[in-house]
Amino acid sequence: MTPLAKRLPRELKNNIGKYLGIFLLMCGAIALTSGFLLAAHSISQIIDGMHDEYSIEDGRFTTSFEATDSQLQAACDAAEDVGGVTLYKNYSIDAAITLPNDDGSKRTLRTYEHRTQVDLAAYCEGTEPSSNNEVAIDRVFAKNNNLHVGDTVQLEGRAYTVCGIMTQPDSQALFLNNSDFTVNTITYGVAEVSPSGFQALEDAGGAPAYTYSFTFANRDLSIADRTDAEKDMAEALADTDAHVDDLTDASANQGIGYAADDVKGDSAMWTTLLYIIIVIMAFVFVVLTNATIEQESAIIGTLLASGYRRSEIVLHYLALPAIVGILAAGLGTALGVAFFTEPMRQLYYGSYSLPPFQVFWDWGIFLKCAVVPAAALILITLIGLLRKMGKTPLQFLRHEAAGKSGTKRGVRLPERLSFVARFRLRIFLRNLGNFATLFVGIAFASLLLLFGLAILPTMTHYADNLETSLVAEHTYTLKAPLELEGTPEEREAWAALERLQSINGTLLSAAEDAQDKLEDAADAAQDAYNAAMASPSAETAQAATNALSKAQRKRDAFYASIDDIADALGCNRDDAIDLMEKAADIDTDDDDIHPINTTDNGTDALGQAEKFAVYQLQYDRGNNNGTETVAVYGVQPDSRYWKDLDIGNGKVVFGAGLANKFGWDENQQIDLYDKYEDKTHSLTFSGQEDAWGTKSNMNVYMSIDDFNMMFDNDKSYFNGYVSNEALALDARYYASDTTPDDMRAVGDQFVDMMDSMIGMMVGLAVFIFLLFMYLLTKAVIDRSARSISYMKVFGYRDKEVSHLYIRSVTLCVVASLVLCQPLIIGSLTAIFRSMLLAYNGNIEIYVPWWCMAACIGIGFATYLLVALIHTRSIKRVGLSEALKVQE
Amino acid sequence: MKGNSPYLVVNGLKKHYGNDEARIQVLDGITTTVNKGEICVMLGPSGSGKSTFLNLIGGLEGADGGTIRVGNCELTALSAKDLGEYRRRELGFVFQFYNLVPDLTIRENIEVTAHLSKNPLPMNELLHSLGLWEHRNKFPRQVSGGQQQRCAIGRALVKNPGLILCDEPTGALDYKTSKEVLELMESVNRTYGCTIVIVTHNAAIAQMANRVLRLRDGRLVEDEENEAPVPASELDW
Repeated sequence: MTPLAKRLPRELKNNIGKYLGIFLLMCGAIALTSGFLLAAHSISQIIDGMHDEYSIEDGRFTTSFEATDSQLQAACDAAEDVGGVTLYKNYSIDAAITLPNDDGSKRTLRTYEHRTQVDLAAYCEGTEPSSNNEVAIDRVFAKNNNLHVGDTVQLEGRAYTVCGIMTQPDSQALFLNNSDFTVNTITYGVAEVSPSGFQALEDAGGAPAYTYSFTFANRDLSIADRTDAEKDMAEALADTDAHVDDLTDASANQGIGYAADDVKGDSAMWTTLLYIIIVIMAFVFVVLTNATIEQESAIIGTLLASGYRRSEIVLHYLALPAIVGILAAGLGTALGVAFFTEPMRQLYYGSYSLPPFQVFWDWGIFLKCAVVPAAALILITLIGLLRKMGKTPLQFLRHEAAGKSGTKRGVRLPERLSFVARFRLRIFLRNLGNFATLFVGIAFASLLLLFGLAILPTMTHYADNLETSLVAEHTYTLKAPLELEGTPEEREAWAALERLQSINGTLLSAAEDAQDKLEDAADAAQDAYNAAMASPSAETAQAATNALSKAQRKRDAFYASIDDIADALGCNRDDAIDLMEKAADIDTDDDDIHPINTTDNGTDALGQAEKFAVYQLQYDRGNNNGTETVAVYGVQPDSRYWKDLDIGNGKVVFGAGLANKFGWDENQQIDLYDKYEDKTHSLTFSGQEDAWGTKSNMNVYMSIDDFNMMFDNDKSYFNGYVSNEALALDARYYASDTTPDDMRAVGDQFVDMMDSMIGMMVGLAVFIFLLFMYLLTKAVIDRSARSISYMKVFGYRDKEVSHLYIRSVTLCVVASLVLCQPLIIGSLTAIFRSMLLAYNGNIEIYVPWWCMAACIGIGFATYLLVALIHTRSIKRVGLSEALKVQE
Repeated sequence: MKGNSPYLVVNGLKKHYGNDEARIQVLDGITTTVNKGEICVMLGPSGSGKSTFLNLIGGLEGADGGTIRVGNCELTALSAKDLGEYRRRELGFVFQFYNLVPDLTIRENIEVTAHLSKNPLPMNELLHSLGLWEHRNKFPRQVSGGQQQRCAIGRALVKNPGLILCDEPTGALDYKTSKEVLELMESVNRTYGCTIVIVTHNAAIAQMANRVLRLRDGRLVEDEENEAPVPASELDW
């Protein structure tokens, strides 16, 4: 070992702040990243394993009404080409839940029947529901709403006891709607109840969604093959008059795939963040080592002149950064694996419903967190050193190691500038490299800080925009057109029909059959009676008697079927017959007749309600970024809710969010794909200035007539109401009600999800500020030590010297803090755009003025601490420094 | 120790800096020979080319013309890498401003170059002979300029080189300390038999040399052998 190595511990001791700071930042960043990556890798492994372990579906479709056996069979037949498919009923009810200590907020629990074949739940606590008053609740929803096994909750007003806490593999991420931008773990959850509990919930007023999950016989089908088969299935369903509301392949189901995608995306983000920190750290090392080399130029020259090889000197100066880097990388990885995996796991387990956690080690984490950072740090420092050490021994002896900075120092400055201004400018020019690195460091720390500070305002701003884009207090979507106006008799008839449709359809079919047979038998008996009367004989009398007996048996059979219906309805035979008679007034075969809401909402509510139609299409984002779900609205031309929307004369208006996100050109053809009908609709984008609504608005608007023409609907078709008054709608036709509360919940959800991350980011940013500012400005002060001493010798007071040097540094720090703001906002905008391009919705970074002020303020406050340290160190520079012998 | 065998042979050495109008011919055909074990003092005013001459002998820069042979080594034929090896093996340097490593002790500063030699001088003995034994564990800032220059001489000497090149070794020292340093160099030359080339402004130092070279405007204007060198202790200026 070279005797120069003895310098290393002393150098370390003398500059412990510098090395400790860099070590801590590297170690901390690596620890956080390795902990995160291990948690993320383990979660990915768990998610991968769920496909087989919990028998995750290949896809699902939802029909507006319960599909008949023949419709389901048609869907199955359509998938024969790919080896067949198995369908599983996966009905759910979006039940309003009331908690034990309810605060009155609207919460929805999507409640399924306990599954036994597909999408099996993983139980964390308790047991599966067995009786009709037990419910097992999703783990994240239970945690966020402080629910425990044994608690009693109300679902649609009916009491259920929480018997278990579980996760469902198709609801790993809790998306109320598959097209939502983010999960909702606070006011939305999933649950499962026993079959009898499900029936009870339906009886209590819950409207079922008729979802059918399916698995293909060949579970290794490619997504493309699966999607083709699913299109065939959807077409088959449509051909058999089943109205498909939704068709989602597992790969497009956010409940199944979002968590895995999020983990993957976050892993890449954390790794990138780590590497940026490492690269900046390496540049700090390069700057500091260069300063040392310049300071020790003559010594290096002497050593080279004495026969030291350049490589030996380079290795000497590389040793400490390398040791610090290797130690930080090794220790950071070990600490991360040991102590940070659990907190990082909690970040995900607080948002996603995943089965119990277990750690899966991956040597790739060691490579990414220990090997690559250490190697990158050493390599960059080495390149910097080799560049700096490229001078001849004589150049070192002549103090020419500073290279071109000598030229900068020689720049002529305007004489009209005051001495102080020129002096400060000289300091700036002399330390240009340091200040450039400082600017990069400040910009990076500011980026982290501003991201941390602006993420909540951005999300709440987005939620506010979403709220603004709701044109009414209630936006109801329907499974089929439902008229609000009607006579009491009509309502009664539709109520009767709806009640009859609520029971098992085979009972009604059996009753219809029995009635037909009874009528046939009655006719036959009448004919036999007439024949007996016309030509009385023993034979005709016997035939009439037999026909009558048969008619009586058919009557008994008919009554028996009516009794079955009455039992199912919970009423007596007469009431059942009454219902059937009333329902018979409706011609169910006439498609032009719309059902009439059984509840009269009153004149005021009717006055508020306005019909609209909506349908979802897909827009290909390009570059393998998937498809954007676009809601196409057909609205009334003179709408009282969609104001200033110019949709007359066949005009199509695009939401400002769509226009902003995709930056379309004027008159560009926009192709929107209908995945249920396998059809593409081309619309013309009229220009950015014609876009409507806020930048969160991802809808397309046209008149309802144009809408119905475009989608080949009846002229009178609609499937929604907007209203400022709440409407009571028949559960059979009701699909959803979107209110401003739902949008506010989005904002709350973000606050909940990002809270812990924000603290971490702000803390990290402040530490980076502190470290970079201290190290790089210290290098400036150290380099100026002799000049400072001279100033003191000349009679300058400490305060005046501080003014000259500290103020120069202060000006650079403040300039860096301020000037980097537009750069950062531009970067954040670009980062956000690229990060979120593949997600539904349009979120733009929103940086309120106070965020920028806080960013500059925090940066400056951190600098004040650094400046205080420097002021003290300037005071400590002795006069002897000026008297030191120097060539 | 002094012999008649030529150790440093310089023939027609030329060196210039700059081009065209800014061209300065620093050395213009220097030819001289220094025998093994001699002390050679090179005198001359500022800008006469003394330091450049020293740098060329030290292999720190290349000549435009002429040859330099040190022992059996033809410097002008060596690559940059080989020049480094030559310095490692053959040379010791002493500079006006010592250039000690500030965070190594006096002993460690000397060890820095001892490390480069396969056959270094005994450290303790050397420290005693340099008068630094008492100060061996002090850092450069804790000792006087003379002691620092002694350390620099020790650093040049410890690897037992054939040639020690000194660039104004007393330039930063007072009279008394300068004499002490010169006495030390004389003692080192006597004890270890190394050839020493000293570049200086101080003409008085020439009296202790076996050979005196005088440069003016890049030309060697004097190359004399001193038959009766004056002991350093008797020098006066």
